[in-house]
Amino acid sequence: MSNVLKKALSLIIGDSSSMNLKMPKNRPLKKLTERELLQLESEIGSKLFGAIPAGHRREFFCLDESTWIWYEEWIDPKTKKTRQATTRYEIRDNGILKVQEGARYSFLEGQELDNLVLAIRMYYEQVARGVYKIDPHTGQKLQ
Amino acid sequence: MPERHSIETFSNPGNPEGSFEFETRADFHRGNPDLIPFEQVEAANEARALATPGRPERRPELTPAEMSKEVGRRIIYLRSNELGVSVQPSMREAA
Repeated sequence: MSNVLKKALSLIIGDSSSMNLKMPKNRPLKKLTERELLQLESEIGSKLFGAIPAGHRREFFCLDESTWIWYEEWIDPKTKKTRQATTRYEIRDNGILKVQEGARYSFLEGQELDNLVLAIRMYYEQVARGVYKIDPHTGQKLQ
Repeated sequence: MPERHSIETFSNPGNPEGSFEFETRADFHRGNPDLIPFEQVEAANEARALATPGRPERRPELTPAEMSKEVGRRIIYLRSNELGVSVQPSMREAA
């Protein structure tokens, strides 16, 4: 796994004490760090692809303007060991490249491409409103 | 709605014989019910103009990659804005 990805995941996943991060009511964002913002975004992102299977942990977030990360962690029922999978989506001029561990690369197409693009749009809509309190269409602060 | 159908007169005071009447396009249509309605011709012409290569009068839809990158830009902008930094702090660069 690249250093960039490790750094991104450590920021998101971190230690278990940050798992229940909630948006403060009075001063929503003033005290939050980049890591905390990413966690809030990912909390929304993780729910965009439907129900998360029992015992799974999922993260989905925008790393930078051309990189999206999907992280999934679960307990293998046979070995009882924790397993994890990280998928990186690289936005390129000629398409969206899906990069998985084991040097697996493929450009998204068909339904998979449609699903990801829809999720990215929903991510923006919901993160803009839910985390940054911005109307995603006008860019104006929500009251 | 203004009346499109009318008989226009071209007057030439210096030469009365040069004056004549002519039908407007809509008036012509009124007398010819089999013709395509004026509005439909306009719509067809507009559609044809938009479809002409090299005349992108309407903004083309973004490709999935373009749209995704645009969303990424906006997210990074919002994040940076909340962090109070003017330059996007790409984690890729920081790593």
